[in-house]
Amino acid sequence: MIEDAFARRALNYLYISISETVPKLPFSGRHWLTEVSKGTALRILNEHASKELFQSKEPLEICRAYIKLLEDIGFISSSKDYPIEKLGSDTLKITLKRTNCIYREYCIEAEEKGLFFKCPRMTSLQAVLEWSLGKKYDSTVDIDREQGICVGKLFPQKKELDEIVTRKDHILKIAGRRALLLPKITYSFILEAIKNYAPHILKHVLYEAGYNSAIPIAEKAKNMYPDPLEYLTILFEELKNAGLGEVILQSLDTSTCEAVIWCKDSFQIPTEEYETNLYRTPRVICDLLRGTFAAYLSVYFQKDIICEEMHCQSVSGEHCEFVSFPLDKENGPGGKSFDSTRKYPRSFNQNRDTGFFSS
Amino acid sequence: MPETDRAFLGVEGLDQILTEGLSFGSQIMVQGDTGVGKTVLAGDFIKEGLHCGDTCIYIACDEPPEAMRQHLLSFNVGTRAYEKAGRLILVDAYEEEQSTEKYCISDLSNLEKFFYLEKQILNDYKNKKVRLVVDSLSTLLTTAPAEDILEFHRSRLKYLRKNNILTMDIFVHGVLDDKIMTISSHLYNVILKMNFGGSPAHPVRMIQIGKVRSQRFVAAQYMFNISPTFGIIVANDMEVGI
Ligand SMILES: [Zn+2]
Ligand SMILES: [Zn+2]
Repeated sequence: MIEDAFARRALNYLYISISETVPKLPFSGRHWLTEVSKGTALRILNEHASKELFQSKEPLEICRAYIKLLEDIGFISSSKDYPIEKLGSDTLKITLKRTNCIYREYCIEAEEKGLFFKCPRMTSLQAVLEWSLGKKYDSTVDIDREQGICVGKLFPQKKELDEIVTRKDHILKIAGRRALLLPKITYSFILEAIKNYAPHILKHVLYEAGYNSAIPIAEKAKNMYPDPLEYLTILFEELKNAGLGEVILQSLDTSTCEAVIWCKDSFQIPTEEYETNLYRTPRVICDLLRGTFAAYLSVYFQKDIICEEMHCQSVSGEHCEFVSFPLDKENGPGGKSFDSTRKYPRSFNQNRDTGFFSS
Repeated sequence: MPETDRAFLGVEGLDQILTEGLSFGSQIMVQGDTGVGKTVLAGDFIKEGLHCGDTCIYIACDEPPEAMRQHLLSFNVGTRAYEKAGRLILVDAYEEEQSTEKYCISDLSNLEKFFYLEKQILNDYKNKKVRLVVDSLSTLLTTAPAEDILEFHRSRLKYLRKNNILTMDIFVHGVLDDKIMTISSHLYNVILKMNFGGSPAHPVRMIQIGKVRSQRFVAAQYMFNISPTFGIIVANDMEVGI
């Protein structure tokens, strides 16, 4: 099979295509590619593997047996190309020359184009270990470009890796709670109705709805991603995937729990046909996002964080700007002005280049 | 008036009455009984300004500025972000020399000095849409002679109008002489009177919003309530007589 250049190329194209497609799908999809590779490996096992081949309970032996199987069925040319060794008590290390890898086109193109990448060889080994040992595994790959070598590592999974948004049959869920995909016009009519009957509660309703609904999502993300930047990146990606806006962290100071967040094209920005007269004068209106960000940061820092929208795209500019502070610091006069240290407005694309991050 | 040049009080029921809103440079006189909710109204006015991108300056004469911070926080408005951005300036004219605030005004008995310091602060925010609240201005005027008060009003309000400052001056009912209050009220564009009505057993809060026209204060009267979350709520569909 490996001799079949066309088949190998088609396989690579398929993976490239999946990687290009996943970011275009609504909602998330980080682990789908892993699931695809795992599924392929399980099919190979079901078709070709006799259980005797996988008698051992030793991860090293299991992986070696699987590589040998791939060689036997002609999927790879030589198992010697895949030296596997033990690295510490529960980590395996696999070294591979890129020129020998059947997934090299995918691997190289993904790296060049910054595509979503998960090495299919490593994920198939994860699948084999899970299949034989009944225990979840995870993997990473380090690429040494100069030497042309990929170094993969396999280790038992520490935390449950899954999606924040999932779907089972007709039930869509976000962080385990039922989710809905509604046209924005439905949301607009809810706001219209609140405005007509009780305009003074509108901002509070939105802030609190954003805050309270974001808490379970934030808690789930915190379990999955203990690093603050990773945690916020995942949550912001979820907001983008759900169509709420493109959110970018401008700065985060973990010592003071202060953050500056930008959002481009917030879903709360009115569109031509409706929601044009929600307020009498132009003003900041993204209170649901304001509450959402306050919840994300409150969950992360385990203290009350309040978030203010300082500037809204609905008034002018290319994005909304949110600033958050812990409530315990609320008391006391304000310090140095943000405006004096930052040139504003800046182009939306010039983010993350100013060294605002600290931890 | 272009939309962005309009300003509202931030109290839904009153803003519906002020259909066209106010322009920057307008001056609002708030008169009211002690404890009726004048500072709550000031909080609504500031919150509205912060949400519209205005720069809000609050001169606290009767309580430390911290009280306004806590008050705004109860409306879900975190003041620190605005203070840091230079959009909310809380001026301590209460604790005087003991103040730990960034901005403070002392020696309140000297009206000229107050006006000078006020101008200094306003000068830092030139070319911004500024809302200025003095809570309460009557505190500054208690010991001043009538002619000084009127002269102070004339020069100060002229300056504020010329500089497009949307001003809200708060007066506690009963502090100043009625005659001075009447003359002063002619210098303002909008008068808001807040007082307790009803019977002693069932007091209700009443608010009137209007203008002085041909020597008479013309306004409809409404009942209102104070909500700890939403601020002043005016039942403007329940007018209670002229
Ligand atoms: Zn590779
Ligand atoms: Zn906005």
